[in-house]
Amino acid sequence: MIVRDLALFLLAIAAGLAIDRKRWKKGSHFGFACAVYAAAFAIWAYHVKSHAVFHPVSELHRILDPWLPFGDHSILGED
Amino acid sequence: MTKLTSRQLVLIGALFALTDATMSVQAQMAAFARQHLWLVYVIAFLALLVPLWMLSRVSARFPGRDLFQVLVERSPVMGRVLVALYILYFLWIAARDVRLTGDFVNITLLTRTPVGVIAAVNILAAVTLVRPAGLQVLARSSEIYGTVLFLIIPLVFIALFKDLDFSFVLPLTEFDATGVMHGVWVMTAYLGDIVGIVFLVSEGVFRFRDGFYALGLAAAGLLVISMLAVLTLSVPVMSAMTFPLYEMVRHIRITDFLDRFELPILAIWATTIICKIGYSLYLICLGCKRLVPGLPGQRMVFPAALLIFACSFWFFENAVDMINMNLTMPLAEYVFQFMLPAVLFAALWPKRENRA
Repeated sequence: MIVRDLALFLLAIAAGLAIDRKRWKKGSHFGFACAVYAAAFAIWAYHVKSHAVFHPVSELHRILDPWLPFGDHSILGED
Repeated sequence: MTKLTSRQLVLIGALFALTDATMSVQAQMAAFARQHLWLVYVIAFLALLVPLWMLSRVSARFPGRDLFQVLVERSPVMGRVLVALYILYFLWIAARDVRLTGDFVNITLLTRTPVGVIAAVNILAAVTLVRPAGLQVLARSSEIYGTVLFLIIPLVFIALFKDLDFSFVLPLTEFDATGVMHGVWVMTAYLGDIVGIVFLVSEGVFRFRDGFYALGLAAAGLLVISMLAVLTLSVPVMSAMTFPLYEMVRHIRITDFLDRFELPILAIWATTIICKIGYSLYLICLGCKRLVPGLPGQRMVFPAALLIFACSFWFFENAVDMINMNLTMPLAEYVFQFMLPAVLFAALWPKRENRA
């Protein structure tokens, strides 16, 4: 399952690189695109491999929620 | 560069603000503002006119250039930092929309299809719209599907008219100001996505009038369909549902033959949200193009799309978090929708001419 998900993502990256292969005028521009591909792949690998324990938005929600007067804690009430 | 017509800009802005505000946030709004839901849109509309006006003034100072370009030219370091921040903001909007649509379609229509497949199809559709001709295809798609979406709203009203129960908005005098303001807090963040249209204008200037009409159209459309949902489902039922507007549309029965009338409506809505994902994708690529001089934006479409796809799964732990974050994420979103436009308005003040 993990291998399949990673392989499909790599396939998508390969397709993207193949589509754009002839049009790069500068190596640094190609490098920038590769860096974005690498970031996307790292995030995806982290997500599928470890079933990510850290989700930025969910964590941010947990941090901010107690500070709001109408967050989850106030909707659910206290025991 | 593509010159957007006034009509296109109004429709793009309206779609930017409306499409994903029809999702789970409606249930939270009903829980907070109850039968005074309409007031939330009026207040949100008035509040958002301020950043739109400020950004229109900034755009008027630099005709023929987009805001990213202005930022980088005016201040190469700080400008690039702001461009990078706005790229992250549009990445957040795109990732949220992709996941929101994926979860919604998975829960309501394609229960056996993995969310990843639905998200991938949506992203691929957005790439197909953006990559060949940039803004041109997107703007024309918005003209077609945006118009149809807004024409559907009166049609829904007519179709549901026999099911409306006006006792659901009573008592009118029982007014909860705190609840309404909580609703405003949640909804303004969604309607506030409209600031993205200012960054799309790269030829001519962004006119405040266009933003006003776009925001007005979106707020009025949402007001009508939200109130229709209240009148059809009632506030307690609406606030207990995950996707109340979808449930409202499912009420529509036009003869036995058209008992699944929600499907064509969903088809139109899905196209408009793909357009919105496309605009966010376009803005990310445009931002990258301004960030790295000479970088071809078209070549960034595919990498940016894959990043959006990966982030849409990484950002949120599960579908419930997608609903929870409506309460807290406005804190971060208001920075981009209110604070930074004010900063840009002040920081990009025209330089004094040296009279000596």
